[in-house]
Amino acid sequence: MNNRPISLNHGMHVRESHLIARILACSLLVVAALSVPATVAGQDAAGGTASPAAESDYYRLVTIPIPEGVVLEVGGIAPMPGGKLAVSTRRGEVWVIHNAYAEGGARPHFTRFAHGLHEPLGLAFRDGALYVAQRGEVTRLRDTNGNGRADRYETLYGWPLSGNYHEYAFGPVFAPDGEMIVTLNLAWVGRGASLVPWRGWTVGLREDGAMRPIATGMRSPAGFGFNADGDLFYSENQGDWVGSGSITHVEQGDFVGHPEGLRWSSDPLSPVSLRLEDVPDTGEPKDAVARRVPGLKTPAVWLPHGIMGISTADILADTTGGAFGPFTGQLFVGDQGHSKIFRVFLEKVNGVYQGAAFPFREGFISGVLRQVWGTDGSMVVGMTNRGWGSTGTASFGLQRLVWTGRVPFEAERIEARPDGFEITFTQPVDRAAAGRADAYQVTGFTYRYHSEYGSPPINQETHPVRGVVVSEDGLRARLVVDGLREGYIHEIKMEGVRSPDGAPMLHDFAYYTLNRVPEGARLTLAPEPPEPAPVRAPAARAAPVAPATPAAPGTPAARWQTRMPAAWNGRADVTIPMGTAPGLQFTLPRVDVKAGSRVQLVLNNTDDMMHNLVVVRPGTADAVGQAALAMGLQGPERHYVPDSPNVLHHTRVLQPGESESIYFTAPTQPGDYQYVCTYPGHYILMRGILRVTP
Amino acid sequence: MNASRAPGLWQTFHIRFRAPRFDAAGRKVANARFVHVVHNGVVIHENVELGGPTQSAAFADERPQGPLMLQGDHGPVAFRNIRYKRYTGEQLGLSNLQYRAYKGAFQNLAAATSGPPVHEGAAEGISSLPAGATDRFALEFDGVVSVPATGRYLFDMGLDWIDNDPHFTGRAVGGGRLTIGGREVLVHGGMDASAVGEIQLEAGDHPVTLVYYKNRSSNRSGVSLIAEGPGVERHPLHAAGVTPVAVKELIAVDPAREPVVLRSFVEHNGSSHVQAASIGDPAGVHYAYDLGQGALLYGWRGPFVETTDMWHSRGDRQLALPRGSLVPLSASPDLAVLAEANLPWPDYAAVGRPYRFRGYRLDDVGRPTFAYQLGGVEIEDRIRPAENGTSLHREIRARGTPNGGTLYARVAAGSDIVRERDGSYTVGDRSFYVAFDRGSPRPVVRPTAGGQELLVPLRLGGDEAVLGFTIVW
Repeated sequence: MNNRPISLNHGMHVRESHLIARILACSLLVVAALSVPATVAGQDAAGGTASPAAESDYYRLVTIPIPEGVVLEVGGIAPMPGGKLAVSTRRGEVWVIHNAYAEGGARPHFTRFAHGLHEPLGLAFRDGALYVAQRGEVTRLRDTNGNGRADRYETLYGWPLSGNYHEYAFGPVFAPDGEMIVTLNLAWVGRGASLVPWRGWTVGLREDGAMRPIATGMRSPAGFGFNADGDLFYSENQGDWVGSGSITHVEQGDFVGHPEGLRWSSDPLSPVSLRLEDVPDTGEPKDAVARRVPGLKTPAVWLPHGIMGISTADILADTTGGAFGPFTGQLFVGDQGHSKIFRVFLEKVNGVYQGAAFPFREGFISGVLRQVWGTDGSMVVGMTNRGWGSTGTASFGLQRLVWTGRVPFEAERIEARPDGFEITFTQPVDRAAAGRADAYQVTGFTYRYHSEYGSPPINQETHPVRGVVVSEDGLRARLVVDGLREGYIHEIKMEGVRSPDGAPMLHDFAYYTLNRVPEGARLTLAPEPPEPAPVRAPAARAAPVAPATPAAPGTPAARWQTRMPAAWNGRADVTIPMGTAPGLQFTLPRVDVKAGSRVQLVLNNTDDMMHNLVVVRPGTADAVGQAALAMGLQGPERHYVPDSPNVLHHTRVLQPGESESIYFTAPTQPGDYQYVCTYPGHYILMRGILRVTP
Repeated sequence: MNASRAPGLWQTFHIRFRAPRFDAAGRKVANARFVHVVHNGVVIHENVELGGPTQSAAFADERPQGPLMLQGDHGPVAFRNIRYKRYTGEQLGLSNLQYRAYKGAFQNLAAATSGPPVHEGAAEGISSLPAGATDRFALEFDGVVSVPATGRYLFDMGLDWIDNDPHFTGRAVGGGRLTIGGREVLVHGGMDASAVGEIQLEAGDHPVTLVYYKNRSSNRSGVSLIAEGPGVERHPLHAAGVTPVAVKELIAVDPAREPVVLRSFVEHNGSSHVQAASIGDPAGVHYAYDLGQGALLYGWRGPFVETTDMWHSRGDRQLALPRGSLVPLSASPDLAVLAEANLPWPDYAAVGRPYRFRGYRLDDVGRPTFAYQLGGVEIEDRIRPAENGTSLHREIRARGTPNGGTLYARVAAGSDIVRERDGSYTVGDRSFYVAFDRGSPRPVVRPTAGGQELLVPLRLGGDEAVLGFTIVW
């Protein structure tokens, strides 16, 4: 069993709740149950309602056991002939797994093919050789004497490095025409920076050493791949200049958003004509800027941060021809932070890619970085979370996702229409339930495009569903929706949809990126009342601001005090300096305070992700963390602090480099209270104990 | 660990020794101890207590003081450059410390202290605690330093949040200054963690001012101030126990069963080589190699490398650190084409490198041969433990036609190169030896700016040219 403890930094001890999670996760069944899907009434074979349907009923997780002592921090996976799987690891090794699919119940067997590479983050197999991008080059590995170990390490192309640890190289991925695609991460110096040529670029390489810069504006391009039509997409992570994760169609000459790579756009080899000074830093929506600045390419599909992951990774198109379920041609997009895989449906409207992102599978044992198709139509998923932390019980792993043959009740696709959307279901729906306009809710929003780290959702509006027409066969529902905006993301909730047996959908929401509204015939509905004015979602009000004067204890304002109460006469009894560390940690795992003492807590976010700190009643960190996850689009502007009586005090969400002091009086009742970061995906690991002593 | 060198080469010891202590009645109350012994750059003893006199001591019992005795009785031994410093046990002291704390993101010292302090008062010691902040603050301490003896003093100021970022951004993230008796002792530029300054001081009390600022966000915010002087052992002046030091668990690579070619960043002579590898061998002889310029950087024996800086968390420095005593070998390319025999060896930092590294192949025990292309010539470079298991043998094979000149190998460079009677060479004031294989082309010794270099021409006449030699240390 490869349940390895998450390696915590600085030798800190394992926290109790985390330990419980590890013990509970020792069997796959329980891993599936720990995930938080919509568990709904489902059907058993006899046709009656039985146990709630879960993702694992349709797609099973099979863990590939890793031998003791092998640190399989997956950087790349390449299927090889003969049922073998090659895996490259962040410690520089390439392992070949024989009988990876455990045929006949036999255990997979690992042999080490190569080692000593500098943090490979990809792997490809072609013409009898393995290709890997390590820190500074693409290397071809060959075994010429047939002893099962590489004896040729050939350098095909090397690029400049500044020595900054953040300059990762991802790939290579072979394009249909045999070119190798490699992406180059920016350096990190408190912000993304392109210190040497081609950092922040996607490049194409040939085996003879020819290099073609393709596009720039990349920040953390950890995942990329081709869709079924041979078009290249790359994934981006929330950060400076990136409001939320997304996938973007990449073509030659594109600039996809982060300006640093433009430092090299005037190089003779560069196909990008934009310059650094062409990029405005206004905080407008990216789509609005792109309409003014030709050459800026916006994402095809956004994955809203915190809801659809926090660290978008690999992109894998379903080319299994039906062996992996009913989603042929769609993309599966992994998330390294939440250890999930999402599904993306793509379409082209007026020549521009756009589409919908759906939840698909959660519960992987560690951060999902790589996905490939196994030879049996299962998806092989490689994981690692060293340095960044993730949901899950392990710090690395290798699992297969296998279709059981049962088709889940989902929206198979959502397409844009001239006056709304059309949803196609995987099976016929109850036409009455699905035909009610109030079965659906549509909210539009977007993100800021600016040099700041990330963005909350902005310009949120609820869009009334004026009518629904369900097809005769019950497979399609066409929604007429008012006020849709081009360039905006639309949350489409389908909570009222039912199967003929009364079961809800396995996943009942999706996010559609509406880059273009298609032309064409509008639907004729039955006569309806006059169009109401667009309703501003309540979330459009200003974000809460901490009050200037301390409020009465227990009121919401009392939970967030950023000024020292006057009654303290300028002195706190205890000042707690709290920092954040890589791998989802607070710098202090425990703080002791006397009951009733005056506490100043200074949260200093020195990490390169966003964090908050919430003080909660004893034993309630999990409940509060889960409640924060469920806040959806309301989360960011309320700093992911849920309206729970278990919340005692909190900071706001801090950007990297920010700090905030909060002031509170320690509880009068002694006990082990907790503090936790409720930013989506962090609460399981990132917590500590506030011991209140008598 | 055996950190010693081959016979005939200079070796270094740096020894901190504390004599046994006796009470007023002459009874021993503390053993003698070797506090710290560094041999050829490697710590070999730490806090080793001695129960009694060792052989060949000056007297049979133990006394609080005695002469330094150097023993060498297993063959000819030479000693040189013996220096010592005797400590009196005295230290500097700080008193009457007052602090002023400032808040803000300051760009320089003047801005840091120009506004009103956010609070001030008496300080118990020098630390960042009174700042009341962990980021974007400045602290100024005024007090009195008592100096035990007249003489030259050295002060070392450390700001522990300063990491690699200033070298990438070119911008300081803090700074500081130490002033004693109105005279500036040191200015901390904020680009490196530590800054050092010296000053001549009279015994007695002097006013002292220490000021520093931090203007970035990070987990560490600690200051250290260390002093050393005439008879005064290096000791901290800052408050002890305030700043915890996080110690990471060791992650290491061990080539016990087969050789390892480990790609990483490698530090040599103060600079980071980003296209480099450390090659470890089960024989216990290892070397580091710059793949970007075909340069053998250094060799060592014993354990291989520590990779904590690569594989702990995100791996901030991506360095493989050698775990032994290094013999430095090269800081520049080992092969070049010279249009004429008297032209200086090229400096590729200035003109860019003409090497194209092609990769390496492993033989059937896993040892690498590196391959290059250099201006019309294909080169193979094979470095492996010599038969005696303690030296490195290097074989360079070249084939092709060099563009515009003759291909040379620079086998060694140092302060001097001495040809011995047997045809071998002693390099760099007896740092290491080079012995050429029989039948190798005749080497040439040339002067350089810093000393001498040993070049070998590789005449390519349609066949392969081969050069082989052993490096002994």
